[in-house]
Amino acid sequence: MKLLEVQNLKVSFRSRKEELNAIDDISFSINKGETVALIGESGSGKSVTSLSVLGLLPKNGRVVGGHIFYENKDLLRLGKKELGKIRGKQISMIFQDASISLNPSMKIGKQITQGLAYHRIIARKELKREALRLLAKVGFHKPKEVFNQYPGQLSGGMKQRVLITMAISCNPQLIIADEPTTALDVTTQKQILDLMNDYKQSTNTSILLITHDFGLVAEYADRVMVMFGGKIVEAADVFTLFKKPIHPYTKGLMNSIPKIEEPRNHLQTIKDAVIEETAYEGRIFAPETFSADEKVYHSPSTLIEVEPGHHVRFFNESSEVLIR
Amino acid sequence: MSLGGYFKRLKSIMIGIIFIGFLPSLLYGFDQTINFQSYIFNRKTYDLFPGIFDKYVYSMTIFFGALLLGLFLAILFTFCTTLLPRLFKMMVYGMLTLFESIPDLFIVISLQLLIVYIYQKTGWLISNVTVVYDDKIYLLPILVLSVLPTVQLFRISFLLLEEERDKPYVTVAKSMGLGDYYILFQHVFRNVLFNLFLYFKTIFVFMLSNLFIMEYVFNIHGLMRIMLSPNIFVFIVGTIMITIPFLFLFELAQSRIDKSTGEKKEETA
Amino acid sequence: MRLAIWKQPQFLIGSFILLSMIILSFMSPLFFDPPQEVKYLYEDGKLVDVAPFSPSQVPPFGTDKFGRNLLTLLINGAKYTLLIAIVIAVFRVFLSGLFAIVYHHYNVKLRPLLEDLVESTIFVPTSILAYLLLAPLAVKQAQEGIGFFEIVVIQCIILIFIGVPPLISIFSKDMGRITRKEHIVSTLSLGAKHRYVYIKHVLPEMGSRFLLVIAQQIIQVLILLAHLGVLLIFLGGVKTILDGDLLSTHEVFVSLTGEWSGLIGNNFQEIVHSPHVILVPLGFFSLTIFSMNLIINGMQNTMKKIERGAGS
Repeated sequence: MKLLEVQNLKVSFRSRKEELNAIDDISFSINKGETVALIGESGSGKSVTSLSVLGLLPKNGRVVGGHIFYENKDLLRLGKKELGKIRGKQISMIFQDASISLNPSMKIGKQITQGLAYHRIIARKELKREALRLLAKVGFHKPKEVFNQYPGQLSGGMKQRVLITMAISCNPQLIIADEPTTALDVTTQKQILDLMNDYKQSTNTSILLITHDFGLVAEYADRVMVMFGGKIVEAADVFTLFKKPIHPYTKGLMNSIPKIEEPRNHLQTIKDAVIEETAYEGRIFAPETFSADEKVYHSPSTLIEVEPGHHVRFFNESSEVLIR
Repeated sequence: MSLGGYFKRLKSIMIGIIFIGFLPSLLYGFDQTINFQSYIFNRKTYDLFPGIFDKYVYSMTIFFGALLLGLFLAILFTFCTTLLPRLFKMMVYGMLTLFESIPDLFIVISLQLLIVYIYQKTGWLISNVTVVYDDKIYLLPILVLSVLPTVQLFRISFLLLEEERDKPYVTVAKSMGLGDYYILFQHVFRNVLFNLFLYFKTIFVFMLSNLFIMEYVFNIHGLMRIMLSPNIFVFIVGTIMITIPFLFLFELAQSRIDKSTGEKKEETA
Repeated sequence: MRLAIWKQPQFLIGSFILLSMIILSFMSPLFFDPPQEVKYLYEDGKLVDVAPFSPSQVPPFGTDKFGRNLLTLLINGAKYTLLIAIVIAVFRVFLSGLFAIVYHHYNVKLRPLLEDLVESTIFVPTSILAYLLLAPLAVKQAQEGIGFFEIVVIQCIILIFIGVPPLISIFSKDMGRITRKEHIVSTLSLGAKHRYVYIKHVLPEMGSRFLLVIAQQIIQVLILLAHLGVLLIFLGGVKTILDGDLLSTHEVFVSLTGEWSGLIGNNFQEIVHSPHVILVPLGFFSLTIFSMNLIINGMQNTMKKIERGAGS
């Protein structure tokens, strides 16, 4: 059952003179209880995708077209009030940098319960007990102490836990995690993601995991979408993608991860990972990934299902002329 | 905060104040008047104790009255400007810079003149402009003293608000589905107030100076005014009396700030 | 900073007002005759009024009680007021910068000595402090007759030093913040001498801050001067002259340098029946402070822009 369905989403940003397309025609869906990963390099439009789901785009950005269906309601066409009921309660978000995402002058206890209090999910006098329960759940050994502390008194990993606590406080159906562990060190990263995974498994929540780390994707995601330049270039379930990546950009991304088994002289970057093959089973890849050529970049391309559940972006057949 | 730290600091400040008090004799080598019993104000002799406590309470009432009034008005104005369109906001800010440039002396004197003018025209005296006798007036000094703090606090909180509204935690709050006004009051305003709090020393120094010049111009028999008395003991006692509560407030404020910024206490000089 | 600041309209307007005031003040003796003192106003050979005259009788600003034209007095006094304020502010910042280096560097040894003084100045309004130190000087001048130049220098030195302690604490905090930055720590760990670090890293980084504080101090000094004027303490000391007719003589204080605060103090007693004599000089104070505030705004805007430019 599809929980969230994004159809042909287009988002553009207005800079001083021009209108830039940050996201160009993105479609995907998330099923109930599923973890879907959105992977790509910085600037590929991952975060913009996640922000537009909850209508949190910065002032200079706007959705130009498409639909985002959540339980058969189009989020893009909901009023402010109705959207407010979905935010936090149905769909919540975990942000990247916990050190600036918490209000520095508000006690932790108050911050994690404000969603519960505002949406009137539980009674006011129950709030503290619920907060302590949540804090214990995300692994704080002394929840009572943390309840009365300010964000400045916590470490980075602890702050990220608090953000997670906030996100899960209202029992949402879907959690959008925007690089939830990028700012943390490796050991904390694992704890945080395990925490999210446990929560997901115990409550059958869906997660949209936004990351640039293939390691995390392999461990936690069910399905993966690779994004580049505001487009999805390849999408498949996690086993297929790792076993049989097709699009050159995906391969490039994977090759740029250092591997222990096969020692190399130098680490590959995406630039020198250009793979000889420019076509797969007679179809030509959209070379947008490696070329800054305007004409090529904007030439029309489509996601094509090469095998069940495995989509790869190819050039439209009519536009082949443009390449050679 | 630790009480021990407070008393240590208080001790060092008292030494400093006594040093300052006797600085003129050190510099020019003449004897200063020290009189533990009485002081002279407006050519009349008053008993120092317990009279000075009365003056102290009076001056502090005016001080805090003006501070609270200023704070209240500044917040009210800041809130009103958030409702204005952008162009008006810029205009308000320009006006604030202009108002802030007016010296306290100018404001005190022109308000005094305004009251005299009103009296001459209508015979209606808002309250005695200058105090000749020992009567105490409250409303007028508080109003006059609150003008500049209002302007200053308004300007600071105006800037803070603009800054605070674009911070990431506001987006987080929005993602939790909290309403715009809830966010404005519970998050943004709260932080503006908190950051305003960081300016407490500046505001204090500024207002104390204002209070002094107002007491002088209005000829109010308050603590700041009698500090000018040639009897240096009045100066020393008066300053120490001001220091005792305010230092305590400063220490309290500092420890609260340190707590929420999570920083170790820096040496505050 | 150097280039960008000239694009700030606020900075330009502020500097323009200040500079034109100073230039006008220096040029005015070349173009205008020294004003005559008109004490009595006659109309058809009859005595109509005695000085001070209101702005409507002698445009644009009227006269003081000696019948001197306020406009010429103000323009003439501008150079003294502004230059004295600038000199005091610059010296305050310069000295505090020096002391701050010493204080910050030998923090542990010097702290007990300086801290008492620095902390206690917060609780004493500057005007009271200045009065405390300057009032005895006036008495001394009256008794022993100190020279004009000498007294101006002593007064300026006192006004400079009473502003130094709070600035030391501000600057030494700034320096502490800068020296904790990573590039400084790495410079030191590579074996740089402390003196080198101060000259090459800390001071340049503080440079724009120093300028900003100078501008703020100029405002502080101007306000202090105005307060001192009311307290009848004038730069250059006072001259007591006998005023009035032979029958009703009384002593009057007159500022010797002619800076603006003298005008305020001179006429303070007459505030109710001829308010313009005080309000006009105070208006000039406001104008100067306003243009200083414009300059400060301009500086802060440029600094913010530079910070942002470096950040993104």
